[in-house]
Amino acid sequence: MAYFEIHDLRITHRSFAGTKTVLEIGRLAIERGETYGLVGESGQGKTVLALAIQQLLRCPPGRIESGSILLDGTDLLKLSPKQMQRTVRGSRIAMIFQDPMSCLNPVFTVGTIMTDVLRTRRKGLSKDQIRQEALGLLEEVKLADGESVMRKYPHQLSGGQRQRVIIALALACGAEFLIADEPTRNLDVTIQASILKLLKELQQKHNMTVLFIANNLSLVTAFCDRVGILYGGKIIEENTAAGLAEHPREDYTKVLIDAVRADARKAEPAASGETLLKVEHLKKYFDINDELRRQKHLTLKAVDDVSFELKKGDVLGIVGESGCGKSTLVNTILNLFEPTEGKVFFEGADVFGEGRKGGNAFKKNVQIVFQDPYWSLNPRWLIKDIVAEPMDVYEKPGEAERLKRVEELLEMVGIPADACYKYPHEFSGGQRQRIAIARSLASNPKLVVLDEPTSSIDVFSQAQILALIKDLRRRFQLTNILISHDLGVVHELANQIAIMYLGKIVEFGPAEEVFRRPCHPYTRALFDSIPTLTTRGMDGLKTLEGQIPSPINPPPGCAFHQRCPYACPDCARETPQPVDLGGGRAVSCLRWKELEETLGNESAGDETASPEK
Amino acid sequence: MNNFVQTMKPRIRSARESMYLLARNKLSLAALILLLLLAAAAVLAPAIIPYPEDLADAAHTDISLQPPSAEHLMGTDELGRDIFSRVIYGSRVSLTAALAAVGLSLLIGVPLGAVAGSFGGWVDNVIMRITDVFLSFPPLLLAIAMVVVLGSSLNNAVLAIALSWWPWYTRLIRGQAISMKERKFVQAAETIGTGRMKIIFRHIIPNCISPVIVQASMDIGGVILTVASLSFLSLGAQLPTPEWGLMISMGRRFFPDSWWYCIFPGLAIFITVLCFNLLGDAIREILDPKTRKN
Repeated sequence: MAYFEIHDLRITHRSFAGTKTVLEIGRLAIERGETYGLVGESGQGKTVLALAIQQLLRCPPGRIESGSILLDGTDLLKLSPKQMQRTVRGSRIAMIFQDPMSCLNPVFTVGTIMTDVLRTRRKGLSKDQIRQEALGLLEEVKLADGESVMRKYPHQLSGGQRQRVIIALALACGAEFLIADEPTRNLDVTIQASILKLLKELQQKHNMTVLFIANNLSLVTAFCDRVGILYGGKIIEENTAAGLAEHPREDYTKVLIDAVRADARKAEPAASGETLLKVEHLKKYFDINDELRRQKHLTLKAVDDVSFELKKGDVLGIVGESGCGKSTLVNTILNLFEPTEGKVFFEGADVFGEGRKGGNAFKKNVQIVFQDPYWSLNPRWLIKDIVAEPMDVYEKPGEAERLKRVEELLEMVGIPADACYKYPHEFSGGQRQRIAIARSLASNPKLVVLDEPTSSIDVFSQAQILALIKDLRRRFQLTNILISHDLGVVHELANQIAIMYLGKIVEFGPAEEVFRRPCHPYTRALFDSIPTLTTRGMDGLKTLEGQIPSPINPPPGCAFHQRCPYACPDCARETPQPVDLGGGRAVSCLRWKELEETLGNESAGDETASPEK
Repeated sequence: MNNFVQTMKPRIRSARESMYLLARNKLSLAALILLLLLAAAAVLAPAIIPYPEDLADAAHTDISLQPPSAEHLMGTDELGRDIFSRVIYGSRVSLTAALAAVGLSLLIGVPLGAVAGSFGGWVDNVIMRITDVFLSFPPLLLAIAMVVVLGSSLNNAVLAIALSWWPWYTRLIRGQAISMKERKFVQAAETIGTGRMKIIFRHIIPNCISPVIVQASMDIGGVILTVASLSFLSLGAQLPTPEWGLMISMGRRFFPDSWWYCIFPGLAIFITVLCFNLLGDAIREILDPKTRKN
């Protein structure tokens, strides 16, 4: 008998629409020490399972109809809530949640949280011993300077650090079965790799069994021994990680695999038209008055001296970790923020210098599609009014003309015309994103900014949205700026790429070139920290140590030198200027030439480095 | 015309959904029915009350202070007027006064709050400091002071209440507007180039009005009480208007011997205020997207 088994589990959910089966698992077995990955998109029952195992499922509306969940021979469903609390949850089973902020109580310091858990789980320890134990645990999860971490409140830690604290808490409980529910979803790719490496290491050290839940197939196949695909509440396919990646049986699995495969992609060639957008030494600083700590006039350099040029028909992909300033850059270009310094020229005209009337012409020609389709459409407006909003501003067409144009636009993005008289909440995420795209085209713009257009919709719709964007771009000869942390999306759409780090563009060039031959150490690290379908185990992933420094107090010299594995003493003193490599490429690194010679294209040449989601 | 029907369809659909949600909670359904009855009584008052002449200064001293009977369901007052007729007609006075006062405060408070929240900066500062000044007086005292200046009458009482009440809505909607301003659809409207006032009135206000509606429906109860209090202090409705608070004020001299004189207008106030509070809760539930989802 396996260490963890599920037999004939059936869970239903009751609502107005009637009772629906949300989870139906015939048999699931995980051996001791194994890592089992469960893959599925949102709404397929992943989290329901995680909660049901711990008796945390809310009943009603949920209801466990039948079946058994065996942990080492004990049926967890037969235990009383009290027994569960005392003997299983938090002592034998621990869970790591998606969002590390919401599961650490914000009013307590990390030290208080840790000692609290240790006091209840390890009775009979003195205050000093508990403290030592807590410090030991923090060291085990590789949090440097445990003493100071203990004194901090959760909001003072970064996402990666918080997730490490959560892992330390799971260790403190002495858990032998760990449920990780998308533990890296809200983290940046470089942090993600290091957290996963840590998990793997601790798992081997403590012989833990891990149920790993995720919606990203390449992540799961890299991290897990065996993988199950959850679809419509059922496990439709189960195989070893390698077997699944190479020989998927079900159509659904094939779709998931296609969505993360890179070899099918080919970046577009650079356009050679006239210049549409020119950004010159753009700076956006935010003044922060922290009067509480009497540090007045701090400046946050969100965008620090950025210049680039975009030709008609280009698609520029801006890539970087969260907080690197990519959204601020775009918002400043769009005139939503007042720039601190620098100029932006659109079709040769100075965008900031013009009066109100000129500004409106610019706004008509530049539109944006936002990341979150749930809040980018006014929930109280009918679809026809949402799509027609740009027309109402610039053309003010008659009612009949307006309706006709809206229907045309909707048809173009694949939404039936009867959607006109519906509200946004009646549509799925992917459909809403289509409606947002239709709106962005209503004023016949020349430049459309796509701010993470696919990151909050599921894998199925993602591919369709990308295809739609490509198609529309060709039909309307649009120029795009694409913001994304998803290199797969960037690879698919962009022909120019800009890598941003701490408000600066560290590498710029034609997408194909940059992907083939990354020059900046940060670009290399970014590409190498993303698992692909062929990655087995965590050893193939390179990680970047350290946190992203604060843009309020950026390190002197090269902003990246503290995390750069190739940094030399000069890097801390001298700020690298962009070096023109020819062919439209530029890189801001003092040592790029030496690195190119010593490292060659090792990271770029082999298969694992090709960018994927 | 066809266009209009099409546009109304989704609105009707969502109204039907609201009714469905309302009907799930028996208590709020009861409150709604009672309020509808009350509203009907207020509208139809002249037609249904048994002794219309008793609304004014009629005097039948021969039947003064009669206890409740089949002829006079709630008894009679010191002038022999039918209390039942006066209480029913009083609902008209109280409801119109309360609706007018709350409506007027909404009219002042909502646009001010939305403008303050959306503009920020010095506009916000000026508007909010003014509301702070108003908020630093107890609303009832402020209303009393204003009535004293304006002169005692029901209309002045309504005006005074509205002037002391609007800052609450301003505060409420300003907070909502600040968070709504960060929503992507507002930013989208900005990039599209939609005008500032249109953004405030078409994007921001409709999306932050829900808590204000909840608050306003609960406030109607409170305003009815305030109107009654002002009338009780003879600063509101004047004799012989059949206003509930005024009736209690007159009846207290005959309490407890002629208990019906005070008790029935009091009960009317009590039930109306309770119903509005229950309705406010029900509206909150309907407007909460979480209950809407399933």
